[in-house]
Amino acid sequence: MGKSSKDKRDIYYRLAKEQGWRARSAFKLLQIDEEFNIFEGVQRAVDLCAAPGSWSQVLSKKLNEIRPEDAPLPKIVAVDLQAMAPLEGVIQIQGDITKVSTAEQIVSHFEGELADLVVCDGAPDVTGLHDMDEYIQAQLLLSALNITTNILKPGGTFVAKIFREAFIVCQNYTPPKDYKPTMIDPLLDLSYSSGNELLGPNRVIVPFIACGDLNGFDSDMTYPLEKKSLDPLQPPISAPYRTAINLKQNNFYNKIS
Amino acid sequence: MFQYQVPKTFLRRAGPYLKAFFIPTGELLASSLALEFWRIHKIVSAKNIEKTYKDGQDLSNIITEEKRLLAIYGSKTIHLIEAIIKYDAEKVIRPKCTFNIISKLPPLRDWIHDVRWLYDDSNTSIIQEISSHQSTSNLSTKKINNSSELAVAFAHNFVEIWDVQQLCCVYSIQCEDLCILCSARFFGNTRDSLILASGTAFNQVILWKITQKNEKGRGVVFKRLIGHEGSVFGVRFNDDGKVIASVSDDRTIRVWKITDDNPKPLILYGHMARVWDCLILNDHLISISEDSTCRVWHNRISRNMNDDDISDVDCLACWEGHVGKNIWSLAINPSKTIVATGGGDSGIRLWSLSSVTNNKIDSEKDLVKITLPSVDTYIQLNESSQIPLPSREHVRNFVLVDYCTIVIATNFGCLLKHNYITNEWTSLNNSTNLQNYTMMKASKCGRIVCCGSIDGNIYVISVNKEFKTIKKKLHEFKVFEIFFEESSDPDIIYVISHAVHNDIYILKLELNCKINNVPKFEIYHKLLVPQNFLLMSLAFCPPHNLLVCGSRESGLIIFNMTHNTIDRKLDKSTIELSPVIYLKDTHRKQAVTSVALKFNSSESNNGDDLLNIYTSGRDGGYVKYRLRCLPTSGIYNNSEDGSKIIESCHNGDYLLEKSVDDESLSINTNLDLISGYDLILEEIYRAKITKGWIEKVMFVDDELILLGFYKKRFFVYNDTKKFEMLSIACGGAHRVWHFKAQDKRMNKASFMFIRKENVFIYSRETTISNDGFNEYKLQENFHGKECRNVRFLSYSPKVPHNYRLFKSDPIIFATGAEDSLLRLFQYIPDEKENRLFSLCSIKKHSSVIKNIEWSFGNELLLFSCGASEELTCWKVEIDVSHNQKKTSTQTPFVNINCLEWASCPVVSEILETRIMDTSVCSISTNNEYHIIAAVYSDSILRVWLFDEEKRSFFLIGMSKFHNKCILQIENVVIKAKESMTEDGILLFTSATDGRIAVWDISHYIHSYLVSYTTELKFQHHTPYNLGTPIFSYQAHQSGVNCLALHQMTNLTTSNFIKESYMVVTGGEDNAIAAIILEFTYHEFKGPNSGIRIINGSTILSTSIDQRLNLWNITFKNLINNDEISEQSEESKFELIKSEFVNVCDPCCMDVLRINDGNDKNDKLMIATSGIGIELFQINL
Repeated sequence: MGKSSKDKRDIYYRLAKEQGWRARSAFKLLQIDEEFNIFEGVQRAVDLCAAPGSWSQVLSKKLNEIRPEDAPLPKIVAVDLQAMAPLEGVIQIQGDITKVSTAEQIVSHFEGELADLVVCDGAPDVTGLHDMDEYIQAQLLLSALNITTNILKPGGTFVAKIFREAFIVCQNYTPPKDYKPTMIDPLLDLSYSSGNELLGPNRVIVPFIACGDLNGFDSDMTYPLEKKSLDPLQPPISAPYRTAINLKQNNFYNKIS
Repeated sequence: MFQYQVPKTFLRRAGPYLKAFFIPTGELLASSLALEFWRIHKIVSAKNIEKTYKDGQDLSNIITEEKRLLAIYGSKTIHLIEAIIKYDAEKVIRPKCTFNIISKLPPLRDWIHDVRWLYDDSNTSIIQEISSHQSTSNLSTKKINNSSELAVAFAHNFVEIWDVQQLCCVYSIQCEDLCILCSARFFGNTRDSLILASGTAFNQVILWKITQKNEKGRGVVFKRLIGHEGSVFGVRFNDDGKVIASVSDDRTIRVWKITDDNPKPLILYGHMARVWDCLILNDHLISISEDSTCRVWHNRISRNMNDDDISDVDCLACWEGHVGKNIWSLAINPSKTIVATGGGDSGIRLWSLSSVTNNKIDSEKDLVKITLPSVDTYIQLNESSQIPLPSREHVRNFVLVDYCTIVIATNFGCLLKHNYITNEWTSLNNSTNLQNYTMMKASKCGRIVCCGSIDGNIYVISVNKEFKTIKKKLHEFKVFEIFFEESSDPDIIYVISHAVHNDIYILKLELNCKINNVPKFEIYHKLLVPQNFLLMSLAFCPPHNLLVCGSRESGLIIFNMTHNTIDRKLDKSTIELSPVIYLKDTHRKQAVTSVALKFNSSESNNGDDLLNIYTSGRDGGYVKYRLRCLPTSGIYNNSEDGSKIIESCHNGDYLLEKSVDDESLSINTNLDLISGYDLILEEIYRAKITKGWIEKVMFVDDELILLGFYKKRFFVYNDTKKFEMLSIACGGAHRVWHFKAQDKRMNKASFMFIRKENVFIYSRETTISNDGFNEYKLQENFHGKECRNVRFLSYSPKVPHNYRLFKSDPIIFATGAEDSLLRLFQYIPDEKENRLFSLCSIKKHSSVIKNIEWSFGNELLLFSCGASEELTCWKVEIDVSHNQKKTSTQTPFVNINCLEWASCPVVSEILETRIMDTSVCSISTNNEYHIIAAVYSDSILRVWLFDEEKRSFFLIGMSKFHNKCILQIENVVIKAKESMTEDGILLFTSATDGRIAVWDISHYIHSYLVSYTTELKFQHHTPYNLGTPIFSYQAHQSGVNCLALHQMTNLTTSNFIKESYMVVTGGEDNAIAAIILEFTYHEFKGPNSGIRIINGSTILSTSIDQRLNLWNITFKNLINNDEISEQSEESKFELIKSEFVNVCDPCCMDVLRINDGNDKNDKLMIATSGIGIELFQINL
């Protein structure tokens, strides 16, 4: 979470910095929990596409808070392609969620048990080519679902980002009988056509539920807060543009133009 | 978005449309909806072109028709298109182009990154056989006779080869590296030679051969190019396939020689954001980026670079012709001279590659250094020994009299004419007065040079020795500046001389009126300028006798020379003149560096327009003003007898009101509109162009050209066409420099400056008449970032007649966007393609524009609002363009002026508060009053009064009810009827908590207006508390993004008026909610409310699923109570029609009802906008 553009510096952006979350998205998971109580009884949790780690932070904090005195410490595994700064109480795996080996690695940390909860807040870098971004997000979601079928126990919960601010919450995982978890990508299909292809009984829209207390903070609203700008809690570890930024700081671009 | 060019014609994509343009003229030849619901990502032409020659043979070598086969793709879809181009044999008319869809491949399995036509010579006969066999059954396939296979590369790093005759996949291979690709590019024309360069999401470029399999049947990687620090967004081969350019998230371009074992790339930094594509040419690389620039680089790798050869300047040009974010597409014509770019702003532009070398001057060797001849050739050293010469001879000053002739003033006080082509030196004048200091200027005609000395002498020297040098002691002290201003008579030239202590004279030089071979040179006026006004720039307008001056302190003054009778006489010939208009701080406290005047060419209906004034400044911008006569003073003429005009002015209220001191000098610091005597000066447009300085604004062939310095360079910027024309590394801003250009293409131009006491010259004269194209813009651009609001100008019946320009009114709309630009467009229906014509684009808001509203008062006003609590009022003047007036059948093009009229004060106590939405209505009886209800992100509703005459906002009242960010507001004016004395004004607001509130603010508005209009000295009092809503309800789970009102049928009884409104809302929760509210106005009482569901209606909705839906709402159950009925199970939405919207993230929509004079043929024009804009038309 950098010092991003003005419109994104909303109340949650600032609250996250004040409360020590690595990203404002921490509040989204907290609000989903308020609505669905997803953390109850969770012993083993997996955070897919975890970097920079705000959801792992939430998992670590909440699971420890609600843990009964006699229960063992919760186990949290965070997976991401990118390196992530370490977090206390979170096991980190740098790996690809499309690989079976990654699934095996996760399960090995649970001593062969499956997870109670899998969360995924992953989003690809948006290019701005809207059709392609939509496709890649769908691929990522599908990959997350695929690996989840390998690591989630029946009855477990799966929470994933669909696009932007929308999430899907799947509870009480019940795989079809004889279903064998697979990593083969069936390539999620999105197609457009004239008219609305979802009509009649097919037009089933998963009910939308607004999470978070409506009396809580409003991300669109402007609040009187301190003017002081807080530094990012956890700057990106390996941003692709880091060399370019270094050059810029060394006045390279002024020299060449 | 990705184009492909054939000689002179040019194909490109725009969303699902395939278009062809004719490059020499920029005309659109054809436009076809080729890919239906997908964006076209690339157009790939088959190699063979079927050509038809004149006379049936190729003897004449004149092609009359060309057919080419194109594969176009986007997403998972490939269509095959035949493009037929018919040329006119005599080349009199432009070619004709048509597109026919030949066939469509079935939906493919994955996202397509590249396609390639494959050829196999040995199979030609077979292919032809298939073709002829199929031609009877399938009309289309006979045309596919030169290539039958298409290789397709997919995002999951696999390749399929498709037979386009049979429309089936004949070969498929997965690369051994299972990786998601961000880009891919084929090289090779046959199946056996085909290789794929895959740009991965994991920072690599993988090269693999399509036919080479490992034991698992997977494609074998033969080379990996490793080094990028981010995803690889684009890969390109050069012509022989030995060099690859890859571009990445890491903002670099890397160029690899793949023939090397361990290729070390050439790495190019310079783009300020992600790079999308890079073309490899022999000498150049051309790249496009998210930073919305296209850059041209040295291609050092192809020219066997060695490390000693590394120059700092790899980037040769940075073309900035697109706005906002992203240039997505890039193409070059086959002869590699014209580059085309397509931006995220929907614009298409052409660039001349040769201009890179012609128009960017970096090397010292392109500059000519002028060295003075030896001193004894022009001065006899011993003769003038009574006054000692300065210690050293060098260049003091110089002027440009011709493209190759300059006049230099030396430190010894000599004036030397020099032609640097012939290397000729001529001594023009020697004077000891001009030693050590010479201020000098040359007339535009080049005949005269004028010098000012340190002791206040003025010398007028003929360059061609037409007359004897004039010497005139004009000032007491040093001459600071001299200006030349031409008149319509070439023999009459005005000279303005400015010396220390603001001693300024304007003199008239009459060359054809000589006594003893000395022309008449007499003081015309003495000019009095305000204090702290150091004259820096000026322009004289002899027809109107007006002199416009700019100062170092950012001031602008205007002298009216006709206006001379009331001035004191100094002596019998010198008249002291004071300015009639003084404007302070015109360029953000920076110097006004030049003034240019332009007469209004269009004979608009405002006959009182005098001229347009342009000023440039060291704030890096330019300003356009309009100077008009007061309407009361009648037509301003060139009469020397100004008495009549003055009389009428003295009688006018304007003068009495505005004259503030005894010198009748009107000084105003803040207003853009200034009037002095009979003149009105209005700021029409302001733009910032550079972070550096703009030193001159001028017109060359009617195009607005700006000259300036930025960092170490001098630049010439064409503001009409929006691109940098010339850039010269001169080391930075110079005190003495000159520029002269003959034509708008800068084919003949000279730039000269003094550096370290020497004159340096860059001069050129090329014969290239053009670059192969005339029009830089093939397609007009739109906003570069998401458009937040679109509003049609609707000519509703209440619109005063003078706004109605034509029988069929031009369709005009305003847009506001994330890129903080306010733009006005005209929609022009055309036989080939309906076009958008950009009328104006204004950068005033500092951040996103959230909403815009039109309002008709005395004038046509436009209100724009957005982040940082900015709420600006614009006065919009619509005028029909002069030259279009006669073609009455076509929709006329309009001219628009959008004048900044007023800004609303910032009132919220919270920083960064945004104005989310506004709703404007003008009060019918008092047209100059506008009510602006605005909702803020600090959750407060504020209602403003805008007084058009005073150009001020007054806060009527405010209220906080929602406790959340308020997103939307709409108003309803219930016209006073029967016993009601006042109009009712209702507001509807919606917030992020999903609630809708209804407010009655009638009472507050009317009582405020009463005190505002009746109290002579209106004291702005504490704003009203607008109280609580009269009604509110929960419509959605979360944010309400849109809110629409529709008046239903109403009942009027003798005692009260009932009006029903349908309120339709759309929310973040994906739902649309409709409710009907009924208001009852009792006599003299405020409204109360009830809800009744009574009727059905039609609504339009659009949302981020990219559909425009037309719904019918039926309310079946008629409930007759005062309760809300949210249980409308029996009411239902019925989807009538659903159209696919090509615009991504549509977030705003507006509807215009068009009536062609025939009531039965009402049409609805619908504009939806987000990233781009799309217009729909529905016949009712």
